[in-house]
Amino acid sequence: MTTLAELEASSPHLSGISQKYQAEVLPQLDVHEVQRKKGQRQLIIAVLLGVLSVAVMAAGTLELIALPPMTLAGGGVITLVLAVIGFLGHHKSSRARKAAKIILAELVCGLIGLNYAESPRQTYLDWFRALDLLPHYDRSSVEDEVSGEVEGIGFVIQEARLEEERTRRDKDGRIQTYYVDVFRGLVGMIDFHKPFSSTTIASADKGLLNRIAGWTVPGQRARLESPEFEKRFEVYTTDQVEARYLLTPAFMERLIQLDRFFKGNLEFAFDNARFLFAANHHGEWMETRGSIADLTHESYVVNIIRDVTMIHHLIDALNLDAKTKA
Amino acid sequence: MTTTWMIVGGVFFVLFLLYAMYAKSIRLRNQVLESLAAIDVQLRKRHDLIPNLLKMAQKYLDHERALMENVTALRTQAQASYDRADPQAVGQHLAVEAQLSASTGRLFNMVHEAYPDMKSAEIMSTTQETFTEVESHIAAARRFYNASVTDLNNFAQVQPMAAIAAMAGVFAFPYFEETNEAVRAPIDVNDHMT
Repeated sequence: MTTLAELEASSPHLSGISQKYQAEVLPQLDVHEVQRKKGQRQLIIAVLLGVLSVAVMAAGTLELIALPPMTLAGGGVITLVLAVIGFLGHHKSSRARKAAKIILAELVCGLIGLNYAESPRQTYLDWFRALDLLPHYDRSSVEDEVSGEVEGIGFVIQEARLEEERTRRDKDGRIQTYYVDVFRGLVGMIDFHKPFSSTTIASADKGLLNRIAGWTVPGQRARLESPEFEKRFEVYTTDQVEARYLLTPAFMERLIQLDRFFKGNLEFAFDNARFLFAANHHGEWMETRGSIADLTHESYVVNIIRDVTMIHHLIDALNLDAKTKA
Repeated sequence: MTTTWMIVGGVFFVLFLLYAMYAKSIRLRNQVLESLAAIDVQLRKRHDLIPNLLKMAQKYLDHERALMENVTALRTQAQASYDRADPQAVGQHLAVEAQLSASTGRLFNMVHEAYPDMKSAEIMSTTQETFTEVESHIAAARRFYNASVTDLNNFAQVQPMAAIAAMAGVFAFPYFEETNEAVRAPIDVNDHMT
């Protein structure tokens, strides 16, 4: 595993992070770790006692053991109280994890010169939806916004969670509504160095369904020279020449690499002077890995640094065009 | 009775196929014409840059008068109207443009190399930036045109579509090849390390 000291040595942007982490951040994380452990302990005890309570009531109902009258009703109340205690424990633990995430994200973003907002004031999902970069959804939320400038290129990146409403009938024939995740990943807008006025959209190649998918997208299909790019993306544009001006062979190659980085889940567009992308990576951005991870463990800050500097590398890679004119 | 219906159905099917091929050949030709128009728009931007370049060259490269005259002549030739629907005329037009591109590039490089102190001059850097920008757009338009030509030629050079296309007056079009020596030449890293 990469250590914090190694990361600090690898980038001038991270100079002084180890010292700041040890002196200022770790004491705060200790406090939240104590709260997280308390909440977690509370949850575990409530679950164990709840299971025991349900087991006793089940044994009594099946007459495997003799229980005094009213025990079943009392057991029900106890189980309910335990459920509330367990929920409060889980809530306490989540709140501690969230607080730790904010502290670490603000530390890392602050050092790199970026802004971090756990709850963004503005969402841009309607824009992404209009460009057909996102799947159909009925409920949405965004968090963990990182914004700022890297080498003069402005950007905003948020983590989005999109859910679709589904219904099912229960055994009594009543319709129940529930939600399933259809997208959990990053949506980003990056200023693009080349001037353009058209709209170009590259969505995932859907094989035989491309024609149907193309009905909802503005513009005509653009066939590009790179077989690998064509295999992965379906490009639609309102200006065939401008699409090729933006998607140079070198830039297509970089987008393929970016797509590999996002495990083949990248979709992107050029619209209104911006490069927009959506990458469904199924969560885990700026989060502790698993609910029992120690908040004071160095791997947590290392992961957050990796997540934030990923944006740095991403913009650097896209901005490469401006330097090489490729 | 059934046989008659089968023959009638077969005839209609063949007629439908012939019409579909005819319609496709027209659509592909129109796409080539559209991409050709797009190329011409971008090439006109290059033509508009040439007088500026010549003015700079006249100031510093008087001994390269032959090259300058050649550029002027090629520009006049390239700006002449031509029949876009005629593949041969298109081929000649693109060949002139290719020569103009090569000559303009050579002239630009000469000004650049002969007078390195000009690199920092504002007019030179503005011209260079505009030139690079225009060339990027031309390259994009060329890719669109060549993609359209590939679609058309794949259709119009294979039988039986070729026969239908010929009857509709649709023929294969020439590609617009990259002739800029600077682009084709192997890259010398040292040129970019200054």
